[in-house]
Amino acid sequence: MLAAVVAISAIGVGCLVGMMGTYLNLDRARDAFFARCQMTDFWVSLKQAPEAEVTRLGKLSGVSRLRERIVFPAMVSSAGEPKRGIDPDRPVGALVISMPDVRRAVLDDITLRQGSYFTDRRDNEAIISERFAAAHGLVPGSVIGLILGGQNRTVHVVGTAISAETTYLTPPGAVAPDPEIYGAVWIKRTYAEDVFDLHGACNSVVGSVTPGFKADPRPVMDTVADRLASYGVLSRTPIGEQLSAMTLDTEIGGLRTMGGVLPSIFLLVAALVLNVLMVRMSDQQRTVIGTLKAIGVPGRHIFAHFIAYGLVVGLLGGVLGCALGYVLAGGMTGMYRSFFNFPNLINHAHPALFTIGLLVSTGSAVLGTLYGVRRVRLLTAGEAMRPKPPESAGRIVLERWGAFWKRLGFGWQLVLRNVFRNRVRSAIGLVAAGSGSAIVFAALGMRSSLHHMVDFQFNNVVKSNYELVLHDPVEDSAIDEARRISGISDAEGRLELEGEASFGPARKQAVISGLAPGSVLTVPHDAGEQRLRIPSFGVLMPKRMSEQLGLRVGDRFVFRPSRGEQREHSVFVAGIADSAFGTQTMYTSLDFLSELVGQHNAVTSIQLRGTPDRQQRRAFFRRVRESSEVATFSDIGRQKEQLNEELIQKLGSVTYVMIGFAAVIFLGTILNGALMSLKDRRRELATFRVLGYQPREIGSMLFREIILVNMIGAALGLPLGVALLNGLSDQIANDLFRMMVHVPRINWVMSLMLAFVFTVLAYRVVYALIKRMNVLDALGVKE
Amino acid sequence: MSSGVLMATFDIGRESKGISNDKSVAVRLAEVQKSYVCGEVETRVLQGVDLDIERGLVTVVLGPSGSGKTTLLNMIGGIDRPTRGQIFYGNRDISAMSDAQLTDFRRHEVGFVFQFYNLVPTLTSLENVRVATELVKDPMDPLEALRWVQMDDRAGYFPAQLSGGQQQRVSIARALGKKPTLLLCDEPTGALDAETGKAVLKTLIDLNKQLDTTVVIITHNESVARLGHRIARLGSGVIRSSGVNRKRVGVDEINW
Ligand SMILES: Nc1ncnc2c1ncn2[C@@H]1O[C@H](COP(=O)(O)OP(=O)(O)OP(=O)(O)O)[C@@H](O)[C@H]1O
Ligand SMILES: [Mg+2]
Repeated sequence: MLAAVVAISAIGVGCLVGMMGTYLNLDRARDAFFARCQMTDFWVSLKQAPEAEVTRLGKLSGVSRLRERIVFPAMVSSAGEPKRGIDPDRPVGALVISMPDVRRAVLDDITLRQGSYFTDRRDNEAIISERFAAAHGLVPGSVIGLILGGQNRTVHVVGTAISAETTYLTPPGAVAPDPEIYGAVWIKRTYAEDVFDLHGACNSVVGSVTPGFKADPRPVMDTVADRLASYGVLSRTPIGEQLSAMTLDTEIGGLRTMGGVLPSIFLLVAALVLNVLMVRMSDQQRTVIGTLKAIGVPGRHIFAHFIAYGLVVGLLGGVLGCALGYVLAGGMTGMYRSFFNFPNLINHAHPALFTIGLLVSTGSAVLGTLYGVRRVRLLTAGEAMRPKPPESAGRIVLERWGAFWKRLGFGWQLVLRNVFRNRVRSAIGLVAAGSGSAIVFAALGMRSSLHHMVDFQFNNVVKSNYELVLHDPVEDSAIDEARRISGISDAEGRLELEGEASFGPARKQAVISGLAPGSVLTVPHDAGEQRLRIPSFGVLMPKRMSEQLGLRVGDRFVFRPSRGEQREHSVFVAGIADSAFGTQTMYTSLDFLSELVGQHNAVTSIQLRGTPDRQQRRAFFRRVRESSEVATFSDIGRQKEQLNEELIQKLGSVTYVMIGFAAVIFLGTILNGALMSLKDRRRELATFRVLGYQPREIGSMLFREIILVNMIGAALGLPLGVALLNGLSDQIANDLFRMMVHVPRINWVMSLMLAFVFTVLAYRVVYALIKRMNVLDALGVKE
Repeated sequence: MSSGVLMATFDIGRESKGISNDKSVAVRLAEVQKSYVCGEVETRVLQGVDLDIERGLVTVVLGPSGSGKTTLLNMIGGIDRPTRGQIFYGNRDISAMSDAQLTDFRRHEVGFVFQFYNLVPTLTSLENVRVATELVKDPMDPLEALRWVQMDDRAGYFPAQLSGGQQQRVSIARALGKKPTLLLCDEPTGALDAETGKAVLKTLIDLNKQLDTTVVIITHNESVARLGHRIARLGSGVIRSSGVNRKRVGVDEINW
């Protein structure tokens, strides 16, 4: 029993130390890495601006440093041999970023991992991202082909590197990084100027702000961007919306929350259990205490003895928990290392955290004890020496309803008596079962929500197989051409307009996507999985964006495109679409958008549906790889696979961990409660045995008590589970990804079933003990 | 008092051993031995007990403290097993029964009355009786059982609200509620004063008389022994003597 308390508090502290430790490790490694790479506070992308113009802006107030550079998406025409039996013809893309020809510290710097920085042997040298290199078997000395400025060019790899801004580099349209089809390539500035024909000019401005603006770099970013407006600002990204920074923030924030919530539940349970334990212990020790008091030992000494006991239990749990937590943090940090590959992501011992862990565990243990033995102090010596009077003999509330009570049958009457008599124990059971089933429910809900999300996205909304984003808009007649490509069965064009949506003070980077009339490859749906008609007037807004901007159907908001004529448009919200990914994209009809921007018969991206023929697909892939018009290529099937792998499996394993935790809570408290009950009622149960009750009949009585308390607790825990799930969903939502909470009916049943299974498992142990009980010994227990 | 004097007083005779088909014998103990092994040391508590307990009679087992009375009674009641020897209930060898069979035997045949009552503190008198009556097909009505021990007016009381004697009477009601064929009482008056004890004993004797239940009473009290139809004296691990009590007296006539 003592072991159970120590174990529960050790697990609680272990959770706390493990999760918070991982959080601190990750937070620390991120900060160090971001500092080392000089991660900037904002990113502005432009069509083309003169270098000198940008340099001048460095003096603007609020700007700490600026850097101008050249950044382009590109297709990779050849890149070594991809590993893991990946289709060698599969289109591969890269984000090409210019770096100074000669090594010097710059904003958004890289950290070399292999090979060297650029040399002066060749112009066309490249440094590639470490993951991408690994996925394609590329090393310094390898050669890759890139479509740069419309031409297929060869570059020589001199090194591999990582950088802060590319920590979480996703292929276009995808949610998770996929180094097999997408990587970062850094090339010399002069080479970039040559191939993109941007001599003395740039298309990307990044900057850091003075400390006063760190919290919100937007105003500074806007000042810079506005000054450059005449050069065609395409997008503005403050650090809060930058993918790598944002993903890390979400992840780290989530860890911190979980690191707070889970351990709290455990420690609460541990404190409650300890409390009951101490009450019982002081009852048992009554006569001893009385005798000690009678011979003159001061009450506070006796009291101190119990407190010391609580302290020892707490310390023991705390120390074990810290050790457990440290190991846990090691494992989790390792997992994150494979996710983020920071240079300094290692497991540190955090003395402050250990201190907190110890304080929390001893604190809750001592509090539990204090409460438990409070009564010892109040006892007089004489009172204490007499055995404790039997539990308040009286009727329970339910007996007031005579008719109901009589209908129950004797067995249930006994069960209910015991449940209601041991209020504290039953309450602990309820709380534990409630938190257990809440955790199970949230875990199951998370699983089914993730599955639902992927299904929703790929069965309902995105019906194409491939998506091509073009460098420049093309005539929509190109779509008919695309349809005729062998390997393609259907094609639709889309006009996409990037810009900023604002409503009152709320602002949001957003994309309006104009869909072809009667589009079948992109089909917006609402939360009820009903197909939404594409409005010929106004837009369908994604749910998350509507929440962020505070918009409802029928409202109007302001949209300022970042491309073309930068006139503000007042746009009508025609409907709310649900989506899990691409939570920044609004849908409207192509005609409406064309009208809005005054650009007719043009599309910027093409959705394609392929034929299943492998030969034809390879031909199509080769064509894409060598095309000079394609900026980015997304393979939808691959995205789905990737999502299933990355998201569902990684988050899915969290589900099992959570269910495991719930099992510990259930089993721990049920066993603890049942063992205490067995001990308290040994004599009573032995009497039952003597009277001729079979072990299973006695077991059935205890079972009914346990199952009653735990199933009621589990049922009460379900609403809590709903809240927990919604909280989790909010916690992991960002602009890239939003967990659509979806709870099929079976989850409710499953949660209760699991609670039932855990209860039965715990009961098996109890039953074994009943069977083994020595009746004679038990009867020998003199009161 | 020596055994010789006792024999003279109660006119105790000797009996034969072994299985008998004698319908008048409820329980027969044959060569029953019981020893406890504690590490290297073996304590032999019973060293070969032979005893017949007649059906429908009150048998009193008398012996000093520590002589093995409780041990003996527990084995008769099927909550303990002999180390060697056999115990027959009718012609069933209860010493060879499985745990489940023993439980079943206790359930249908045996009623126990303990020195320390062993009532369930969270249940009322009536419910304490019901705990037992629920177990058998054709029990006595629980209230009827309480009436038997004159406790029907305390049916709704919890044990903590009853005196020792009252609690013992409830425990007798619990035992008789199952309509057992064998009522085993271990020092039923051990914790009671003389007056209360006598009331309890009277209940037991009446029960035997009116319901024809076989009663075994264990005591170290010579006076109580005078109530028995048969008196068996236990000492040094064997039955020193066992015989019909020709000078049986009523409860009112005993004193201690
Ligand atoms: N579980 C045990 N292990 C070892 N010895 C035991 C055990 N139970 C009983 N004994 C011993 O057996 C002997 C007989 O015990 P028992 O309880 O049968 O005596 P008793 O005649 O009922 O005494 P009393 O009148 O005091 O109740 C005692 O010496 C006791 O120490
Ligand atoms: Mg005894």
